[in-house]
Amino acid sequence: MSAVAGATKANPIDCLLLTPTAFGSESGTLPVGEFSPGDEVKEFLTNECKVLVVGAGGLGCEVLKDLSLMGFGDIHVIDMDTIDVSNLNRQFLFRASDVGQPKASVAAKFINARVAGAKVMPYVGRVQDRDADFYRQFNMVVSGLDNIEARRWLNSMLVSLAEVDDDGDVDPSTVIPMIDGGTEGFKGQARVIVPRFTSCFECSLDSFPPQRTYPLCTIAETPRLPEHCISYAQIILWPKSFPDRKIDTDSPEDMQWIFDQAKERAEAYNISGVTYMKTLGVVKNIIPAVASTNAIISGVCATECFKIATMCSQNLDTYMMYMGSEGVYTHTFRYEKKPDCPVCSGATRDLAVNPNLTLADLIKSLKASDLRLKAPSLAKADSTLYMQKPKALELATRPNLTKTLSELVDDDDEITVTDPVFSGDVALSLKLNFSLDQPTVFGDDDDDDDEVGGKKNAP
Amino acid sequence: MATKNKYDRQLRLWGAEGQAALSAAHVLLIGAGPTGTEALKNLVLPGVGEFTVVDGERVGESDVASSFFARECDIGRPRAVVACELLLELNPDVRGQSRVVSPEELFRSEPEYAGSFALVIGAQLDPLSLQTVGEACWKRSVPLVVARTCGLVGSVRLQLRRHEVVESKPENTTWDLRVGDPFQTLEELGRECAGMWESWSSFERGRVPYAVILAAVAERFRRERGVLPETARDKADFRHRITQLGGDLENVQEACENCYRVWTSSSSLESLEVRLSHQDASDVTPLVKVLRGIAKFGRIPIAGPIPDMHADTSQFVALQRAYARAANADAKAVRELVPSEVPDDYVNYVCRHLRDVRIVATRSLADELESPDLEDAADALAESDDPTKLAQTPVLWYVALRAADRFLLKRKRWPSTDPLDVKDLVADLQALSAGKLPWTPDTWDHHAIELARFQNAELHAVASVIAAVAAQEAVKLIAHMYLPINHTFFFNAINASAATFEI
Ligand SMILES: [Zn+2]
Repeated sequence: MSAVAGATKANPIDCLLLTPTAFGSESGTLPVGEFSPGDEVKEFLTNECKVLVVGAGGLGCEVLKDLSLMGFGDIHVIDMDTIDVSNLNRQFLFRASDVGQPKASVAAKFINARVAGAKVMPYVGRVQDRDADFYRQFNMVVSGLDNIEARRWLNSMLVSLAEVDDDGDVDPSTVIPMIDGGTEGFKGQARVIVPRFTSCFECSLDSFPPQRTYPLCTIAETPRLPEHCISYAQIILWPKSFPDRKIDTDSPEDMQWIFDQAKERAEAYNISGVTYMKTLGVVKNIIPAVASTNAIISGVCATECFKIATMCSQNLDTYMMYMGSEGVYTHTFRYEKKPDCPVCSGATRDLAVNPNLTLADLIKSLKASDLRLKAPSLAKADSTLYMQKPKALELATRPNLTKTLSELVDDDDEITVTDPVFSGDVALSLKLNFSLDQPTVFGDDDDDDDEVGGKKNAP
Repeated sequence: MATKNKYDRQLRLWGAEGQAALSAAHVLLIGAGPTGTEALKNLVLPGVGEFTVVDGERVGESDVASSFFARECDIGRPRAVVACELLLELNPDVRGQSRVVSPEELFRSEPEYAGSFALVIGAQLDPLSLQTVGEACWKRSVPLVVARTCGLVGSVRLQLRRHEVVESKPENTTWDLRVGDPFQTLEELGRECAGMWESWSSFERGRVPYAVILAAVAERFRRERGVLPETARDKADFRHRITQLGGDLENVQEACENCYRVWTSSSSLESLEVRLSHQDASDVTPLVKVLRGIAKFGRIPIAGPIPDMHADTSQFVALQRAYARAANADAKAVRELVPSEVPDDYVNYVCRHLRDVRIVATRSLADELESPDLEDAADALAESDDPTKLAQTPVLWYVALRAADRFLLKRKRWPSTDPLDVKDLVADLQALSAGKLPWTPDTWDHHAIELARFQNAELHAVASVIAAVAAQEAVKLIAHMYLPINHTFFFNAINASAATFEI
């Protein structure tokens, strides 16, 4: 007997799509439809189903390969990046000679040449630069992004596309499932987001902690680790020496400068361990990445796409995590909706504020809160409070920033907040409850010393 | 681009040592279908030194449909040759060759063959070939990774006679601070701190690393009570003593959070009993030699590295150096007790990572076939009470797949959805699980029909998951870093659930 004895000679996809099963989508805990085997479902997969792959990096390359070999006939991919040498240990659609080229185009070209019947359409650019009409054309979206920002935005876009009528019922034809994957070293997670039906990406924002930073006082006064010296060179020395220019983290000259300064400081303090590699890691916040983890998570995501498109099996409900460093540990569970999720719940949040707080302080506190906003714009039912854009409106509303809340709004007033972390159609409602017990100023010492050791466990 | 090293992102995981091991390794892949080639792809990309692909088949329609390493234009050519060509394109650092021969034939005529490889991956092997390959690898103590995809389910099985890991790199670093059992310099620093504390200003107090504070309080506690805190009350009392030193100081708060290190930082070899028991191994490896040396040394050598502590730079650096010096002294003493053929670097390496040393041995494939142990399976089933989820428990699919393999072995074909085949399969499933599972699933017939539906096909995305887990285990094994599974990982893509078990 040979290595494939007993295996079918047919296309493996046919085995699944042409035969009935007791385990169709309808039998699972997250049913998305009823499976009916036959040519029709295969026809849908190969000719009608339009899927968008967001990101053509470590996950994206794998997902493109997986989807095209799982029979998807109409694949689109969007990515803004160009190919870097450090991609080549896992982004297998790229070669050394492709360095500098746009990832989306090279990846699409490779798949189209390699896989018979594949049709991949590339888009070079930012996810945020496409509008609702662009996203509306897809049956589903797979995201393999390395940053939280773009995933939050994409999630908010897809949630806002799901139309809810006055009775609160969702129009199923407007629901675009989002299958999201992420990895870090030997760890990863894959999840299915069915807008309005399951939890969304924003519901789980807390499980993605913000980037690690070091307290300023440690960096400036009592450095102990090589990381402290590198951060000093980056945060304190660079702006002093080059006030007019930001660091280009892709420039070997800039990075060498940071490394030299960090090394000098480390030597002055007798700290060992500042290397060029560590400097890159700290300044660029580099996350380790390997081919295998990306392939695992992408494979899970692509399988979910296939099952959602064809309903030929049950679906991931809703979250699978993978940890590969101590044996293999996985956990599959339903990530519950966050009752006051700013994106998918539609709920109005209550916010206790001191009426003597200025509008600028309120904006600052919204940015630092668990909402993690970037540049919030605020409006009342009948008027604008502050708009970050366009310039003219910003100028017109700027005087409000120094006014106190009591001058601008009434107790229990509802305000709406929009922010570039979300797509334009997403606005959060905040109900401001005046309370004199709340602090009057916000954040004198904000990002300074909330890390390390911390007051969180003070006895 | 600020780096010219294409391996930068993975070096941050396994370092130059792991990379050196990987690039020195010659890996054998048996089975060049979708699962096998994807596994090898995930070794070629990170830079395995060399590979050999063995496969006796020719590229057919189903390969082109589900494999990335077989194109339409390759139909009719040997799969091994095509896979080798296309895989080599991925990374110019890697050497590779192919052998067009059926694995069973090869291993029958050249039973020594497996012995020349660092690791063997068997992908999608039929039950007979698997037995032959499994035996050959077991005999020669070559690590074997078995990868298998069947429709929406699949598994990775490791067969390791004895595998040593020095750097198991646990998620949470096990710092070795010795605050309850201090070495001389730490003891002196603690005493100085205890003596001066009252006279120090708040500023001066805030400069002391928490390890010194803990050592100081631990010494006083022991002097007064004769022992370190043992009972919950003692521990609460100890914590209280720390808080008394000034709860508003960050280093004191850190000391409070790290109190437990006082009663868990023993240097006694007893706490390493399990790992040191391996020193009796018949196979006297360098690791065993170092472990024997440490047993003679009489206590755990100090590791060296310490975590960041809120403190003033000079005191922290001085403390860091004190630990490093103590670690060097211990390693030097151990060195004297280890045969000279073991290099100094290796002795230091083991001393530094002693707490993370792991030795893994799995059952052989033959043992598993002969007397499957379904205890893990029973436990997994006993845990769940949701019938929908229960039917998808990965271990049930393991049992079902095994019955289908027995069918294949007996009938020389995969079961079909024909009621007669299904009846046969269900009967075998019942026989396999009788008395071993807490209950008999009433869905056995559904499981049987589903496996028949899968036709043992390598669905690409599922094969890709299985292959990647296999490759990740292979990298861990080759680098002798991180902990491998023991011994089966099973993935059920029906609802994306997975489990690791020993059967
Ligand atoms: Zn949500």
